[in-house]
Amino acid sequence: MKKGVMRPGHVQIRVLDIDEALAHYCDLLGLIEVSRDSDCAYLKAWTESDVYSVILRKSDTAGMDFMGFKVLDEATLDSLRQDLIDYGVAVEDIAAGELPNCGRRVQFTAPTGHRFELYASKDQSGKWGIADRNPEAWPRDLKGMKATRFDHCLLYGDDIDGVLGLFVDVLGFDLAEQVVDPEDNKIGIFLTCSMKEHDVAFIKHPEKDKFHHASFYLNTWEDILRAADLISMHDTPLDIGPTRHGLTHGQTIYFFDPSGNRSEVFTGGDYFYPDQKPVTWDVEQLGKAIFYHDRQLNERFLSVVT
Amino acid sequence: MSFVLTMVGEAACELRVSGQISLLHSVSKTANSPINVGCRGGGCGVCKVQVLEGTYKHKPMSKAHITNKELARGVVLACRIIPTSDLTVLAIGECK
Repeated sequence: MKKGVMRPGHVQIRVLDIDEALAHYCDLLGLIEVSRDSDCAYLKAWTESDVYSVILRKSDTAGMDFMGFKVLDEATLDSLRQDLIDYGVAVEDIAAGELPNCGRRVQFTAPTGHRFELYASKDQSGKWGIADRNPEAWPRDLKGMKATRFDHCLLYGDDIDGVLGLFVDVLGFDLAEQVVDPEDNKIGIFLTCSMKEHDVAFIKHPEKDKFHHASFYLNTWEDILRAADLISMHDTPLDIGPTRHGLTHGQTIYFFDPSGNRSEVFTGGDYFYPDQKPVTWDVEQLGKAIFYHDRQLNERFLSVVT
Repeated sequence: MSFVLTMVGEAACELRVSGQISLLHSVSKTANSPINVGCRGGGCGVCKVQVLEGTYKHKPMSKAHITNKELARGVVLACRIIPTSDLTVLAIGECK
């Protein structure tokens, strides 16, 4: 049941070199740099209304610091904060402005070890490059893949049942798709708070707090093929694709940023209404579930994480 | 400029590698890379190797996989080193 979590709002990614990371996320993916401070760069995709959605933080490790979800309003933030506490989750209140242009945040650690946060307020700059009134179809000076929005993250961790309980029972997400083993244990879960087939997903992995990828939406399959051309032109490390997933049925390509964090651009994919039963994939069909055309697992896709 | 890479251990072999690109980039162009190929950006750790002999330049790599002590004794990520001489290398990275 929906409880007021609206959408993935931002992700903070650790990078080894900010300038190299900006070349990847801005020149190749087509995000727009909106501001920078001593440690971080703040980027947005052009269709997003909020002022930024991707934070790159200079670090000596790669991976994800946290993923933030925007909730409907401040009252919703208060009630979800209380629900987390009642569920036994330790919450950390972070004051407005500690993240630039962002209101107060409620941060917590999920059973998989990943750090998440909820917030209700962030400055809105509107879609980039087009007007609010009588807008043109798209801005003419976008770069690279022209990513339209930050869409979701796939995260690897150990306690899949625990994180499912937290996201469904407390945060009001629905389970859209799952991968199960022969004993019906969950190996992968795809969770939605919207009509999208996933807003965040988790796959079982022996270590906690691992980052598989951040994903960005493109409009067409032709755009995915053009992204593949750009990946070759930039000599960017390719993971796999262009191909289609069985899970979610999205069309996709995966590649790595200069610090080894995986990026995805994808298009299409199924839609979700709350009266739908979860789509189930058997782990024996995992090859087809992940790579619908090859129908074979790629060891790197399963084991390489930051 | 190119150099001779001597791999020892399970993946023992001898290859010619470039002095212009990363060690992993060179070996990943062969059919069966003797070193695991992962993110190629110093973040995931699967291409961890120990350089037993030889010299190289290196770029930053994740401290989650290579500590300063390891770096000092030649334990590095193959995707972040560029050979400056012939090298003798042991592959130690694992895919989890």
